[in-house]
Amino acid sequence: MSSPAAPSSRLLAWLDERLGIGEVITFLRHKTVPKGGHEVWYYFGGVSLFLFGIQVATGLLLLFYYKPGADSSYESVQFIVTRVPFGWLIRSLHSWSANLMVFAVFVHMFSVYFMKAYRPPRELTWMTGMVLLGLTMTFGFSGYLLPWNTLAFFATKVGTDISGLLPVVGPAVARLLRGGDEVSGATLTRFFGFHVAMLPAAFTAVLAVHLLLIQRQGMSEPLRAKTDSSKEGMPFFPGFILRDAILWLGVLALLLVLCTFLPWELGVKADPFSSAPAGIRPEWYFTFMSQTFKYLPAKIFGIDGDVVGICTFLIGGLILFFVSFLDRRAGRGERSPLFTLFGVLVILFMLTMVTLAYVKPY
Amino acid sequence: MRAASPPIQARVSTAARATLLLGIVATLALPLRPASADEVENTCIICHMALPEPLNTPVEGIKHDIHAEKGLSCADCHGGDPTVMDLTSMAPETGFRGAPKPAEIPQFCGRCHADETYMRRFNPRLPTDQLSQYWTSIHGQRLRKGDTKVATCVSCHGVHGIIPPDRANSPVFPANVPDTCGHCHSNPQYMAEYKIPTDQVEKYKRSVHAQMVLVQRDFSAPVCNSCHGNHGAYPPGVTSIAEVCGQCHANNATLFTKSPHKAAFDKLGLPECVTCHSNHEILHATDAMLGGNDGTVCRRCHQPDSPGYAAAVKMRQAIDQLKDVMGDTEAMLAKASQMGMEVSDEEYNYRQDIRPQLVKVRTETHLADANSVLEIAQDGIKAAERSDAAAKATVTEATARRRNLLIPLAIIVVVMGLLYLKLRQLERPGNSNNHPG
Repeated sequence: MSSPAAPSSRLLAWLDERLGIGEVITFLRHKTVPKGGHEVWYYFGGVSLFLFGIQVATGLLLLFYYKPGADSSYESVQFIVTRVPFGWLIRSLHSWSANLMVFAVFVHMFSVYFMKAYRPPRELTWMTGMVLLGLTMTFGFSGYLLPWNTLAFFATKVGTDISGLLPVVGPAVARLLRGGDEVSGATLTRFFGFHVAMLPAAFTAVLAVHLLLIQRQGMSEPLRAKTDSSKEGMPFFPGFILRDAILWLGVLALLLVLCTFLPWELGVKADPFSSAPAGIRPEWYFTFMSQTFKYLPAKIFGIDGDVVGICTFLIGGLILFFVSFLDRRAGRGERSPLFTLFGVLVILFMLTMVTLAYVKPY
Repeated sequence: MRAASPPIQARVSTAARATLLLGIVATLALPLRPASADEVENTCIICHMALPEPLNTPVEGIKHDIHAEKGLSCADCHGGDPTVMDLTSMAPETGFRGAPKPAEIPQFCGRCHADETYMRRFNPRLPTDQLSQYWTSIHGQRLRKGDTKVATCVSCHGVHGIIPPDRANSPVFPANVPDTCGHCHSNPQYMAEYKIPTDQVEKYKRSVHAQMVLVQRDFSAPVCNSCHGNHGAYPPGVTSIAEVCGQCHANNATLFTKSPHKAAFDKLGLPECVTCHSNHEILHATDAMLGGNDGTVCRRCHQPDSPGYAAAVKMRQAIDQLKDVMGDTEAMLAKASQMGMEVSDEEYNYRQDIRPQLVKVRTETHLADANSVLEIAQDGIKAAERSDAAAKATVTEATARRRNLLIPLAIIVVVMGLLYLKLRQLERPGNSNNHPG
């Protein structure tokens, strides 16, 4: 005599019949994550995903009260943090998790880079990841302006000035971003549109492809570890997922502590007619660029120093984006110290510039 | 001590006389010839360039002179015919006026500067009453009596190379005025016969006004001519000092004239504002000047147990009480801000409503009415207490947030622990979940 199935099993069976989730569960049960002492880096992708989830949730809640506009943005954020129950927490969570997300995405990108996980057949995974990094930074850039405070206003002015230096398309890009010749209320509503509609749609689509490719191809093993076939992989479910969950909870706890003890400040309302206060700088993840421009001479080989700077960053970005195709040695499973050195130099350069931006801002 | 030095025009005249003969000889030695087309405009300059000092100094100075900038030439002031390249250019029939004697200088400059129609061509807003004002000044009055040591136009503005007063390198630019006046007035030997103090500039430089003008470069603060006048410079009379100070300190002056001090000072012949604040060495006014303690300005006249003494003590207590409450409010707002709380509205209210109340109550002391001061102080105290209460509520909320944080943190830690235990259980050797497949 067969015993009646448990309700959960019946629900699973019902869903399996319609969605085929049994295949997904079987796939996840068989999926493994490579082990070998380097798996700590694998968690940063998950942490980035978790923080993106927090961004979406808190962003939606902020939309209930936020009113874009030069006359209403600052006031609505002030209302959120002073009058709305738990508004201070939601706003701080949004700002802090955005910063932690950028940090996690950078760590994820560089760890993948140094493990040479971009090598075939994961070119598309790497490239979609690079697109997600770009979208994350664009999220940060557009969101920074939304409270319409003095720091954000002038940082956006500097940021859009830099984009205006791009060869050929620069002036058009700067005008497109600003909605005019200067940062104004038109820029604010435009950035709001980017931040809550266009970027989330693009990010979600690219993220879906990125995750699908990871599930499809599995996680890459570093070249070193790959030779050691004696090591067994960790089951993705439940081993990796449970570790992910513990880490996510830790990140959530960290976020709560940061929001409570260091609530994200609102600053002073932007006044487009005032002069820029001292110490203006963009968000920390853009300071490696803004600081570099401070040190560039007016002319380099007869070309404007700023133009040389923006072109160099552009070329650096393109090298990273197409590294799957450029690093042929890694593709053949060989060591590629030249690309490792390039990555180390990029990190050292970024760390130096970010440090200088905070230690020696003038 | 600075060595005695006469004013500019006296020095020039002495030196000029000494070299005049040599200059004339040198000029005569120039070959007499018709002026070329290029030289027609400037035969004065061509000759004077070749002359020894000081006859050649105008040539260098005129390059930076506002008159030359406006298109005027040597002949516009000195007369003569600058198109002729010989001594006939300075013949009487050419209208040559030459260099004026010190006593002639005001009239010499006033020929144009007192002519409204002529001056309108260059600057319609430029005053043309300098000459008439000058004759009312102590300088002008003494000049008319034959004292040629007194300041004339060139003493302050320079001779050739005159720079408009709104340019920072002009001797009459606000920041340069104290030294320009001090050139004579700080010179004990030069001023000896006038029997007036020579420490005014030295004292002024220690004043709050000098601090603003010379250090903070705030040219709305007064320099010598702001109180004494410039072209009509004259020491203000004892009873008109409040009018002079009141040009800027309007509320203080109005309150003072309504106060019992006004009649008392007039009766005693005390110079109004100066009695308490001094004249040139006006230091930053502090609350320490007020009250019954030794060293306060009130104690100079009011003896203990007098009504004036009691009023001074009461006014000081009211101000001190307001400052105490304001200090508490500021500290609480700073604490709330340090805790990351958004208190910009409260800070704005504090800046707009409460801090000005302290300025108002300090100003009110010039009325010397203790009840009036107390009333304004009480308004400020009440407003500061409201702001303090709002700041305290914010600090309390920040403290509660930190305390309440323990609850979600505890839940998270427990769930993390449970997940870890579950993970260990699943990964225990022999557990089928430990191996894929």
